[in-house]
Amino acid sequence: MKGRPRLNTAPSELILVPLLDMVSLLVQVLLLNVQFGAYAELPATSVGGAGTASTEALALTIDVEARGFAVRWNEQTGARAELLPCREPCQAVADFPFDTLSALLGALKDQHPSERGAVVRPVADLPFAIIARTMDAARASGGRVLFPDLGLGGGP
Amino acid sequence: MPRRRKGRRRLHTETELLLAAMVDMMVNVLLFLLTLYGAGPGADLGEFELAEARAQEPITGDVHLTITPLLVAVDGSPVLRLDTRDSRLRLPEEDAAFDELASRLDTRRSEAEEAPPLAVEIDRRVPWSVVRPLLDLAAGAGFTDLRFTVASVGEGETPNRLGGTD
Repeated sequence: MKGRPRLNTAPSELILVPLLDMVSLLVQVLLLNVQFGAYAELPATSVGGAGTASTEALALTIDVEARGFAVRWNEQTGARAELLPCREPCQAVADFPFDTLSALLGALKDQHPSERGAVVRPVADLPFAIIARTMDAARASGGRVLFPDLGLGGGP
Repeated sequence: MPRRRKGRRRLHTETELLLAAMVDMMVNVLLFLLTLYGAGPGADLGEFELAEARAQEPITGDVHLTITPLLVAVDGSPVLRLDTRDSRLRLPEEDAAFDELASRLDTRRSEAEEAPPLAVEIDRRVPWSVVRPLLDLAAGAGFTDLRFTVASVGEGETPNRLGGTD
């Protein structure tokens, strides 16, 4: 005598092997597309117009020019300027004298420890890597905070 | 009263690996790691290389302006394509090309009473002649507090590790 076929009432089992395969594939795809690295930010205030300068007594400005850095500041005796020339062709970070710039800014910080502001003025059409590195050098060097309140822009 | 037979209890020798919990944990760990380290700025906008610096401050900007060697994007959405003819990067000459960018920045600016910091992600190779007008446009929309995103290389490392190509 035929009847209804018996339903299999055994506890169902989740087949995890294909799921694990899919997850490991997903992991590989995601890892291939990910950019690993540490990111940070360089804060600056946008300043505009020609001749914009720091409002502080030191009035420190760092012009990033095609021939190097032109650093200008005020002293009691009057305005001072120093040109830190770059190495030809002056198109890469390695061509610019960041160590000399850091040393000069460190000496200025020694003389004016309460000053915090500076303006970075990119004058030449240089890659952003050089501008960013200049801002970085102006803010701090060797773990020492120099002029963290940066303005960016201006210039002729 | 019947006495119960004493003897060694049988050990249950069948072990079962609970994979579901392990998979759950693995997915959670993966998501955590990807959130922490992955999906860098501009990751979905094509080839992109940030400038390097020794800065350590965490990224805080709310609105993101990204400038790659191909395009300009606001919050990850491309709004402007750069002119790459003659292998030199330039902004497009037509004024209309900037309308979408200005409109997007205005919209984002109007969402808050005070202008939030603008996280600016710029490829290290993009020249200042391209960057400056875009920053001026952002300043015109009210974004003057800029936070430039850089690849942090730490104090002991040389920022220019990629050599003189930039």
